[in-house]
Amino acid sequence: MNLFTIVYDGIRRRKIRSILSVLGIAISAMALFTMVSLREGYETAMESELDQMGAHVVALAKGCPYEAVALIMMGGEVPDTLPEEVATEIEEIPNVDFTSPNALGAYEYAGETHSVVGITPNEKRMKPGWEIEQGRLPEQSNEVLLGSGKNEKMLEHEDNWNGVGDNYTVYLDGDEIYLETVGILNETNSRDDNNAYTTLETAQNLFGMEGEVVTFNIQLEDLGLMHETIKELEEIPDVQAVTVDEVMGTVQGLAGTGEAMLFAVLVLALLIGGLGTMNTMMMTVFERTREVALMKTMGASKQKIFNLFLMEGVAICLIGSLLGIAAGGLLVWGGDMLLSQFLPLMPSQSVALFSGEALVWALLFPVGVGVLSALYPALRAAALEPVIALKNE
Amino acid sequence: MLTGENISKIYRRGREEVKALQEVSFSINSGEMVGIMGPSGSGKTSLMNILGLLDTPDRGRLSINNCYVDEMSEREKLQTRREVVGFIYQDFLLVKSMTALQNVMLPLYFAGKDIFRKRASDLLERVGLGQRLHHLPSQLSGGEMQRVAIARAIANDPEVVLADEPTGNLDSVSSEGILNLFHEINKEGKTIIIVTHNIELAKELPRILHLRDGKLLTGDEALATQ
Repeated sequence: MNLFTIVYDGIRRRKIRSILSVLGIAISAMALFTMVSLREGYETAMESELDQMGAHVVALAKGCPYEAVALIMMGGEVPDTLPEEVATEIEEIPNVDFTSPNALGAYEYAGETHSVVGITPNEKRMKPGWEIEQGRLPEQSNEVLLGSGKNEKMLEHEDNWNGVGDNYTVYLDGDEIYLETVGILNETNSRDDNNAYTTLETAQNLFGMEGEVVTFNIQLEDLGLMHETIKELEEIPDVQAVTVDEVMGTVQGLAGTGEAMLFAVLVLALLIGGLGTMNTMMMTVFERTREVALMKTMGASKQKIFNLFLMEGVAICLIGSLLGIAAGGLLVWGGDMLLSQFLPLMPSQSVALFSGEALVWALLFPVGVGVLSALYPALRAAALEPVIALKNE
Repeated sequence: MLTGENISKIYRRGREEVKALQEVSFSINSGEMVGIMGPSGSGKTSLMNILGLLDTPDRGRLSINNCYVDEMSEREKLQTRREVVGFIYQDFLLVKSMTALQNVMLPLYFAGKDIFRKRASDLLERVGLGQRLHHLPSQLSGGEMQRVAIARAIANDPEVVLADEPTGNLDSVSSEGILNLFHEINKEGKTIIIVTHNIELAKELPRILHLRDGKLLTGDEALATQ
């Protein structure tokens, strides 16, 4: 027999009440674990996505910065374009190392949106993660380089798909336009895996934006001069420049919308769970008044009685917390599906990340609540006078 | 062993004062078997609580083994209660969710003793419940529950066993068994103090302290009450 035998006996003998208290804590801990894990997973995935872009600054036509972010991250609708010649003006800025212009467009086929990105050879220089698994970059009109995911889809859906040498079909306005596959990219674990890359000119022709560019991805020589370079970039007519940090800030803003409120609600839920535990513990102390008195007649010290009841409260919260983390783990596992219901912008790689920070929060916070909620009942039990308590029926 | 000098205990109920014990003096020797008798409200339970160090007198002094209780620290009192006194109650006061064995192990755990499972099962064997170690109180008869309570009371090998109406809830056969058990324990050198108003039980005890209205009766006064 030890402290835990007696604590276990106390919890076991009021199963329903203990289970309800455990559930209250578990639900809060699950929500806390899931929220903190997914937030970290989302930010990590988005950061990695931005790293893969390779650009320090993106220049695009003036407009809403949120649209700009969506465009940069998702290749969304093109609100406005810039003339191709802007590239020269950009490269004349002293701190600009080089720029890689992109002409983006998309088409619908078999219920899915397919992106086509027009690039120049500078795109490979921009993206250190790019390795061409087979073939080469597109150099001539109507040539295409496929991301690894795109190639896998073609293998799945097209009979006799051989990759390099085969035709990739773009479906636009009822026409079928054939592009010759000249290369396959390695897996980058980014959105690039699902894109088709063609020459700038081909994309401009496909999407009716001759001589126009949607974004200029820019690498700088000295990141310390970012602020000044942005200023110079924005002196070019109709150009707005967005830094990768700004994009990340917007992404965090998107993820953080309502997060503070949700967090406050969760903390409140945990405190309510704690009150439930306190109620359970108070009831226990009232019900076990004579038992506590008996223990005191047997020589149990105040400290031992206090520990006994404190441990019961903590055990309830700890069990709740562990169950909540396990359930939260399942939710995090399905985190991509869950988050895509709430967030307009999702990274291409999974957001399912089992965060250490989330584990600490979901474990320590409920246990802290357990200590607080059991403190008063434990003190009450420890202070019981055996003579008075023994008279109670 | 136990000496009371002019012990008084007064309870207050609002403005009313209830004199539970008035100038009670007594001496109980080590190894004695003593009954405390008296009608309801005579102060029996108050005296038992003071003897068991669960309560303190308002006036007068109690000494145990020549040590005055009022000079003891809380820690020493706790230790004395743990090591010198064992309690038995009319309604057994067993922890219902624990087996007989676990109930007997409880005081050993609180005293921080080692090997308590062996000691507890030996004690249950000793009170005739060797076959009932893992039974819950609800699976035991009244007599058996009181035997578990006795085993629990003597678990820490106390010098004094205080029993409050130990046969109050038992039939005559079980009562006789319990009384025999007290005699056996007494023969081993333990002091037994039994609080009762059961005259049949009192007749079996070598010495009786009679209480009435909080006062200890002298020999003649006590005879007059019988």
